[in-house]
Amino acid sequence: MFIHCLLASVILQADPSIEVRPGTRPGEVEVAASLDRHLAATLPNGAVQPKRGEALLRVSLVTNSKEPGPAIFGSYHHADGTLRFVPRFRLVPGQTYRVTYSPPKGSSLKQTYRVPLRYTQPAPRVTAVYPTATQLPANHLKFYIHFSQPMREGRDIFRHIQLLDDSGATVPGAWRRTELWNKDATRFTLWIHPGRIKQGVNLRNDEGPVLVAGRKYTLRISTALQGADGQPLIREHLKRFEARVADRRRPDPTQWIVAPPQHATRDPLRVNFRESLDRALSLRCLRVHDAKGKPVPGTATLSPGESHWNFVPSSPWNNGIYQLSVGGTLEDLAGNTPIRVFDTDLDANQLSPQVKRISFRPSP
Amino acid sequence: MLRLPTMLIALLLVSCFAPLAFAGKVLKSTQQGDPQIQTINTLSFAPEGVLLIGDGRGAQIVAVQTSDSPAKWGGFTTIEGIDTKLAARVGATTKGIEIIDMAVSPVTNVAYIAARKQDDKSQIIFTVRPGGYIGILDLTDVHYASVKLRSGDATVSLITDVAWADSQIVAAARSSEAFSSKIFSIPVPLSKKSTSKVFTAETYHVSHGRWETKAPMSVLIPIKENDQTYVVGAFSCTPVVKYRIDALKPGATVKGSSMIELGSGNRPVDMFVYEKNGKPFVLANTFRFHHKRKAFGPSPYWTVKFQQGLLAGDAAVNEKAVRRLKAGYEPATDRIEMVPSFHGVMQMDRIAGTHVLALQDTGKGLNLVALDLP
Repeated sequence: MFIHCLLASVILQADPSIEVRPGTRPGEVEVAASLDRHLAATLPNGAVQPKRGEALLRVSLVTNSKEPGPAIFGSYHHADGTLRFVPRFRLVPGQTYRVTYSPPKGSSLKQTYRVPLRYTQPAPRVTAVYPTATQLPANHLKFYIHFSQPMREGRDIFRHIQLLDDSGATVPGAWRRTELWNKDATRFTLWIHPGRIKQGVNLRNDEGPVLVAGRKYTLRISTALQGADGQPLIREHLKRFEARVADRRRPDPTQWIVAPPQHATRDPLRVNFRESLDRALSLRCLRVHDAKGKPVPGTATLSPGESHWNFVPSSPWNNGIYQLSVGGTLEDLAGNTPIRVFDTDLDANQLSPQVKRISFRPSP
Repeated sequence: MLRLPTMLIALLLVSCFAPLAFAGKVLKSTQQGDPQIQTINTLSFAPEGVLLIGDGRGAQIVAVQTSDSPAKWGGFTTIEGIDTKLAARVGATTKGIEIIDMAVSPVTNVAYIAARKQDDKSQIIFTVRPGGYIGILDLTDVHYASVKLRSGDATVSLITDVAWADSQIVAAARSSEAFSSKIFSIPVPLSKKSTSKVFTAETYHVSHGRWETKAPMSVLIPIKENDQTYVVGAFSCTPVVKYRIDALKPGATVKGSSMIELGSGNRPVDMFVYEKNGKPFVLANTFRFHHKRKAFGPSPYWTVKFQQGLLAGDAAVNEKAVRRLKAGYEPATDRIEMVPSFHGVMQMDRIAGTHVLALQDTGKGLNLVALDLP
């Protein structure tokens, strides 16, 4: 009987061990250490204070120095002899970590874990650069660069996008270095530095303009850019264009050509701007209202070159008067709005705003 | 009449679901939980340990009640390679995080450092205590109030700065589409019903020699002059402009007075007012994007100190604004000085009233260091 009890206690007191259990998403892990009976008895079940937990079980990044770094942040929980650690942030795919279990008595256990580097989607690519026009005004203001997936953000981006002149040389200091992304980091707004566009500005006087009318340029987006998952751009993207005479006139809705649709149909309302306009602002700043002033639901699109705007209503047009309203922040490619020229002295030019509403009636 | 256990249960339920009440200057009531911050653009502190977070993608200002206990100033241990050390605590390499901004709690002297973990875009706020201990602010469970920034047609994409201005919180924001810059004002104390007012800033851009509304503001601080509240903003290329905002109606255009021109080729990063030997000064660090063309020091990050008196009055303004440099880059005045000991300072904030806590790039690495106020 005594021997059976002794044997049972030996069997029940298994050796301490550590285990790394991957989760469902890349970098998600739970680390578990099975404690010896005596140590387990000193830890109540439940959450364990980080300081105590780290003293027993820690996970650290292994770098080139081969020595593990400090313990990473996370939460500890003890239940019935198993101490669990869940990192506060996901481990980084492709990186190696050291798990160390250090009981107060007995030997330490160590284990190395490398997070698999597995990409769940293809490498990112540039899907579009706006404006798509191949002739841009010499005072062109910005580009919208669209990517196939969310991109990695960071100040370095400006080193990986260059403007080349027609000799292949990089135009230095072309960009305003403020990162402007859309909500999911699939669109980057790249500004030519306004200080080199505005006339009479010391930056332009010292450095010269970025674009010179009559010359050809290439916007180069390099493969050094990475997707959020770390994959580099699948290929370099080039946009070639020529700079033409600077545009210092406001977009004038009274000069647009509006082709009314046929009533009782869902044919598109077509508007010809007669010049390329800013894509994002054209889609945001133009609205159709009915005779009662209610917004008409529908879908707006732009033609290649962003000079034609089309609006397809959700329901057929009726026979009434509609209005196309033009927001004051609508810009052309040089940043001019219906209200003012981009390059303006507010004291010198007292311009009245251009027409902001255009009426039309569907044809019979 | 309710029995006692039922009353106690009812009281417990009410206390769980009612917003927490604070009788403070900054927060009137808060919620507890996750403020759903989408991206951290900027940090600063209001009184009473309230951390102000500018969330551009969420188009909101989030005010978080921090709960560190007050601490006496006993110095700040320099941490070499702070970026590597912060990254390691979240399991990343040095390049695996990007540091966004830093603010120091005036109550506790704890540094709050905002960073983005690059592989999964986690928004992190590290805390660094004067003794060097590194922790994090758990943004999933905080007491906070949040206020949306709304501006008509223009969408807010980036909040460039946020500051406490005595009876209000002010913030500068811009859009990723329209070339526009807005100032927002939020009355305090904050509650769930708080809203923001928006102003358009009309600025005389000294180096441009003209008025314009659209120049985006990089950094702003509040100052008081003759009992009036002003916001002082700094812009790229690099005018420092004063706006009076306490008497305006929403949607109005604020006409500023350009007081100082720090020179072209620079983008201001941080700015604050301090006192030295009883005199008020302003300290501002900038990033010089023309560093390769004409360097001002060993690093593209350089810092300038000027007398706060240069911001006073309305005589030397706009065309007569004080310029730091003459043509040929020679100093034009001794009232604006570069601070050589601050070369390489990428982010900074006051600490303990006597020092500046700085993230300083030494050329060999990034250090977190306490520098004497110049």
